[in-house]
Amino acid sequence: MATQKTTDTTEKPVAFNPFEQMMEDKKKIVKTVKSGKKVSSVKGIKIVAPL
Amino acid sequence: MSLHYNIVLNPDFSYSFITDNGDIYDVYFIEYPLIDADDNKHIIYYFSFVRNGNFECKNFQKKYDPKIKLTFVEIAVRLFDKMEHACVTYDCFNEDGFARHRSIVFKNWCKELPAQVECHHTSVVHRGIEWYSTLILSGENPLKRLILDAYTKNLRDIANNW
Repeated sequence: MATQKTTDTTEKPVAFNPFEQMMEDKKKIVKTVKSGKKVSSVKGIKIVAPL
Repeated sequence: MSLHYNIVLNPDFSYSFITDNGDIYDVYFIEYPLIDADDNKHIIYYFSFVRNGNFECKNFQKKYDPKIKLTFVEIAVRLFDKMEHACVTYDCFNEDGFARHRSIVFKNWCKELPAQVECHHTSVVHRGIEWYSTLILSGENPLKRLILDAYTKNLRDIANNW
């Protein structure tokens, strides 16, 4: 009789990594700027003015 | 006469300044959440700039302009005057092969910041390529250690998991 393997299917939530997001955003920013558009036109990013 | 360039806020929330040579710098900040080991949520400002509408860096053909450095210092001073506990990150991605060069220039700029503002430089290898990052925060930030640990951990996770 084959032994049935059990696996723990409880997945831990993946923590948000800002640098992962930053890197993805940077790719979009570079592509947008190369096409002659402003950084602020990149979808999904929000420029803030903290000064 | 001002030692730095005039910084103008644009309608899209970026900032601009124009150098004596006529180069136009667009400076922008994007905010990201950073969660520390105690589950505190911090906001880190990702800081970057675009010169004359592009990111190209052609092997330092530009003459050194100290007013650009002083404009960066002015931006940081204003930011920490307004938000004493701000966290800012500047990251040199290697899209053009000049990440290390940019990080060296940026480290020199950081030396001009007020004494209470600390710059913590880190580099990780991501997909075989060095990624240079700097975290700028006040040395008087009571959560400095938690923020620094979270910053380092997140960067290392990127390096290990990709």
